[in-house]
Amino acid sequence: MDKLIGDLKEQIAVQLKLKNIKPEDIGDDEPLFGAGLGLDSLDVLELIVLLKQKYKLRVTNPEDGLKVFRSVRAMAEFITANRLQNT
Amino acid sequence: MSTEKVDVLVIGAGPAGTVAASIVNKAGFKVKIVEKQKFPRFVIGESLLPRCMEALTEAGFVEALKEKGFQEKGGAKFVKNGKICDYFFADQFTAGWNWTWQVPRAEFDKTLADTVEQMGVPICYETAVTAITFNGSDSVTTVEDINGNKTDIEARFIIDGSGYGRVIPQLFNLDKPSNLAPRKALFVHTVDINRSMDEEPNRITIIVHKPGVWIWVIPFSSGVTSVGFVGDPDFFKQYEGSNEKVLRELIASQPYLDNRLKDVGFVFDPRILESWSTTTDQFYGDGFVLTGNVTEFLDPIFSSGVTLATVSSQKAANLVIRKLNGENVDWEQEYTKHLLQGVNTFRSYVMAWYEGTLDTIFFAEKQNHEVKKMICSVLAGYVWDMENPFVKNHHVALQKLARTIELEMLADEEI
Repeated sequence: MDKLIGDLKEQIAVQLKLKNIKPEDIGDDEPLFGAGLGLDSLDVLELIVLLKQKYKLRVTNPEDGLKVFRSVRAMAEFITANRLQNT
Repeated sequence: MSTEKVDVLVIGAGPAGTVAASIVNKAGFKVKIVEKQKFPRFVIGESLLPRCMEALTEAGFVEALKEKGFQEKGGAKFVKNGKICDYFFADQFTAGWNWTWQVPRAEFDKTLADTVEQMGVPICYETAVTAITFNGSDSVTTVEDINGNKTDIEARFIIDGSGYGRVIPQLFNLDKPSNLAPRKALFVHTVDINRSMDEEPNRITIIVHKPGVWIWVIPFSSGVTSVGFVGDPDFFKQYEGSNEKVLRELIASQPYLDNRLKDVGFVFDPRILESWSTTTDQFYGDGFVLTGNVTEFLDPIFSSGVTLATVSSQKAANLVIRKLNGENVDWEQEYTKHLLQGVNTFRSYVMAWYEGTLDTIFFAEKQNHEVKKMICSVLAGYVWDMENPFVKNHHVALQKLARTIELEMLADEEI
């Protein structure tokens, strides 16, 4: 899980072209939207595509999206749970 | 040397000059226009935008123009590899005019000039400005006619609408290069005998030819159609021979045009225009204001030229009236900032066009109707409507939209 969280932070920084934030600056439980990293709806799409391209996972339901993209840890949990399901 | 006295001297009898002259004249001031050329004269910038109708209305020109029977224009059509993207001005975000005209400028400009003369503004044609001396906001301008006769014109204010002539910026070294890349246009008027109503003469067609190269097709009510190729100057280097040979070869290489314009007559030998983007450090000074292309001509792609020219003149004329009435005018805030808001909105769209960002948006499979209406208002020239997010956030809105379209396509793909 820790490796996955580390990988995700790297991938988020690249995909969202974060300029002033280093991957290690993103807290595991820090909210990605609103008061946290302050990502917007375009960034949600970026993350949906990231999950799809890197992890072959689809997030189609917007309510799922809100949960999945709550924090990096939430994303990692979603990936782990669905990977297990798929195998 | 003879001397005369006016309230306002207007330099240039194009749309910028005549709109300003008309509005100031109507307010009761004595106005005179000097124009270097003889009218009618050829110039490009043939497709107008609905927003300029507001300026033409305030100047009192619309009735005279209606009598000319110019081609009405209700939108724009973009074509790329057979794909079509339509914009109709009737379906736009901003409440405003939903039509305008497509005009051969020689006749259009002559109509405006004749109308303003009938209103009582004298125009001296073939008369060039050779020197201007300012004493505070009062000025003495020396002009010379074609026979070498010189006249000194004393004015309380000068409106410079000299377009590419750039009279005041050149006399006072105010020019600076634009941040837009240099581009070149090769164009002609064609005898459009194969035009059918299917071609919908009531709008401009813009064809994406190659990356960074596009074509305008502007039908006039006379049956003549203006056609021009625009692109990086290097694009044209691969073609050799006369302007006519090159243009016929280019037409033959574009399937959409080849059918329609193969072997049709050209009204004149094709012409070239290049490196048109120049700007200036300041749009006003003590006793003068610059309007129209003399401030900055961006690019022909969105037909913004005449609209920015007439709207800047409309604004400037009203500020000049206030100034002459002894009111205080904050030129930086009320003129430069206001004008730049519109110019910079168009600049973002011009850049996005040449970067391909607008291709992504125009030819996307899924079109969001609300967003399309907002972009349509920019294409209609309503670039001062700050309620429109595609005006207010012009520098990032297009990039974000294009990225959203790309991401949605990626998200929809099968895993």
